[in-house]
Amino acid sequence: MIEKLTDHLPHISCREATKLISDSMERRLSLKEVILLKIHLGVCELCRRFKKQIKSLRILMRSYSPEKENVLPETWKNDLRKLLNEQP
Amino acid sequence: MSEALKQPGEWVDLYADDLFSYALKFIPNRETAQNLVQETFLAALKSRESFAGKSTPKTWFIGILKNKIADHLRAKYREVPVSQLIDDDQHIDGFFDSQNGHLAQEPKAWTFNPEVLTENKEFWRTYEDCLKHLPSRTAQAFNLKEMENLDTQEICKVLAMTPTNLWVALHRARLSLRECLEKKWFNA
Ligand SMILES: [Zn+2]
Repeated sequence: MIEKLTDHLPHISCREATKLISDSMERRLSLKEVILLKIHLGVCELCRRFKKQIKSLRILMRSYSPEKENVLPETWKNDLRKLLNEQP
Repeated sequence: MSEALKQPGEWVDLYADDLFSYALKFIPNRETAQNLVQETFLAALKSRESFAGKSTPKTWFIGILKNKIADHLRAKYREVPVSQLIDDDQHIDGFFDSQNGHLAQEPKAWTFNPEVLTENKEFWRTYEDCLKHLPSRTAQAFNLKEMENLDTQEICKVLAMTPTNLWVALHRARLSLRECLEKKWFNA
């Protein structure tokens, strides 16, 4: 029986792999983490899809700009101006 | 005292809108955000002798505002039982099949055009609904990171979390949102 090469490599669970995928978007992974993740992604299609999905989510979120009304009311500004000028 | 801070009456015109925009990233309630801006100016008035001119006045005001926001959010989140750190971590197990260890809801391939989807109000309503499944601090951490693109340090300071906590929270948010969006949007 031919053993698969991957049988001899250290492996991590999907729980660990998805955490590394998520972390890789926040910090630099260590060399060991990079290798463990690569091996896992090589054999796990679900985690590959997970990675694509959360990257898609980031692209969507970063391009979304909900209309926010960021301007303060003039009357409020006037009151505050007065308040600041009156402080001793 | 630094020349730049001598006229408190002018602060409002120079900095109020910027401070307000910044506060709104963290505090959706406009009235609360306005109050924090006002408190920032009043605190600045008392401590302006300490402004050394090492940063710009705007950076200095933002620094004071950050503390005000952090105090406000800390008071708000104090009601959260135990620590959300433990909470987020415990919830992560629930996304995996206890038998085979795979993601319990198998991710499917998503097909969409980002430019079109980002303009779709219905999609963002679905997103808001999905966000409701998360505790408010976890949801807020995710929005600050992904929507506002703030860096880890800044989010940690304001939400009073360590980077490790934050990364666990973001991971939980991603697991939850991708599952919910797949069910309610991409695969609906
Ligand atoms: Zn996997």
